[in-house]
Amino acid sequence: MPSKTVLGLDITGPSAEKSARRVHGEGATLAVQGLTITDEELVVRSQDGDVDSFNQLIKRWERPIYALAYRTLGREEDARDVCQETFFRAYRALKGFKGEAKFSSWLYRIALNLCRDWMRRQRRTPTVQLPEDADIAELAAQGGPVESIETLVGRRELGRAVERAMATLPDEQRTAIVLKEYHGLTFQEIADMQGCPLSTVKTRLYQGLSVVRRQLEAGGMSVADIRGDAS
Amino acid sequence: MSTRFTCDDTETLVAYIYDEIEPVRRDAVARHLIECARCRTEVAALGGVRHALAQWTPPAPPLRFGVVQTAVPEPVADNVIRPAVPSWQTVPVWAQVAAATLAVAVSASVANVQVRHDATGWSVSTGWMAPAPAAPAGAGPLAVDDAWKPALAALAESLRDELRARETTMMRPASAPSTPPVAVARATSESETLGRVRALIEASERRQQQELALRLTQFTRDLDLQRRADLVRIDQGIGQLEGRTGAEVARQRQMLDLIVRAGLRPPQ
Repeated sequence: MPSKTVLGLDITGPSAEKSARRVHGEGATLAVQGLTITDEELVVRSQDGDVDSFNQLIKRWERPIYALAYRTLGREEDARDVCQETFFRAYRALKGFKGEAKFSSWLYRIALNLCRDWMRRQRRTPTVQLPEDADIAELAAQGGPVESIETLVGRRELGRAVERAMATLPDEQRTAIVLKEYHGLTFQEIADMQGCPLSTVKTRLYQGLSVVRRQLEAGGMSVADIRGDAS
Repeated sequence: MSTRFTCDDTETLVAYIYDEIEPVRRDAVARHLIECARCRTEVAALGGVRHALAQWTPPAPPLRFGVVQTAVPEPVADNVIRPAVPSWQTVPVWAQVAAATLAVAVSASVANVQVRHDATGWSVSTGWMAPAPAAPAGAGPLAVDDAWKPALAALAESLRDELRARETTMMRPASAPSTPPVAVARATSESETLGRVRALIEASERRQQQELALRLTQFTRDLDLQRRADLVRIDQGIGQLEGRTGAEVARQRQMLDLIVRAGLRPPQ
């Protein structure tokens, strides 16, 4: 059945900016107050039918969810689709969210399930999108004023090497590392999300980090010295 | 809980690296690291891996997702994504009912469905289940229907005759005087057709050969022209090179002469 009649919503992308602005415009006062409004309060308001509040939640969490999906799937378009679908499903299931877990954990769980389904459907390991050759001007624009071009290029190369190494990991290890390193989840939260014991999470992290280490070293990088080189 | 740390306790090591460990255990690991160089190297390497991981940043495309109320009809952007709806779900119910009724009626007419009610009750039969009831003897339509039988028999007989004649033709030489006229005519016709086909093939082959010869000639001419042009260019290049070399040699000779003259001039 069409989303219009059942859900009364569309999750739109950036080119539907006009429509989105219409909604966000009404929520201007909310945005001012948004500094102090917690996720849980926004969830309660959204459950009462306040669309602006849910849009605030999207605004807060779309970037982390996109990053999670990208690091899990390795493709921009897929990550974008998963991100959109995550908020779509979250909105539909919002009435059933009891607040037993954090809203962010709930979102992460939805996104991870979608990633898992996505990969199962595509039957592929995460691909590594190799970007175009380093554009010095672009790199210089990205970096701070104190970073040299050599440092920026080095960082870019290191990032690519990490991306390639992460793509070789089994799903569970990669997900554990992504959740821990980039999203700061605790061991227990990761265990709850992956449905495994705490000790398994630690083992997965150790094994995953060790594999990444070996891959980087195989690429000629001295991992123990990376701290000094990268920073 | 043990306050000693052993090298193979990777879980505790991970907890130490991420600083998600009880203070007592952390102290135990720290004490162990002072003594054990291998674990110290391991911790440093894993710390380096964590720093390397921090350099992997995902792209940052514009997202700006948002929930949009669609109660008010307005033009919707092209990139709005909705769940896929089967096309049949968009057809009104009355149209679906009408289509179903029509399908049933057509099926019944094709299947010759007959519904009867007699003393034994209701009965339903189809043309596929039982043969059609026999019409009364001597009725007009029956005479008309039977007219095709003699025609069919005559046609079958004629076909048999033709087949026999064909077999006879094939068994005897073509020049035999007793060859039936029909078979001779057919053989003539086939030979004519074969001749025409052969002529067409020969004409086609001739055309292809002519075209091939033309292409080859053009190709040879182009190749020759290109070769001549290349030779001219090479000749010009060699000439320029010789000219430059000659000029260079002449200049060097002048220089040499000047040096010699300067060397022979007595000092003043």
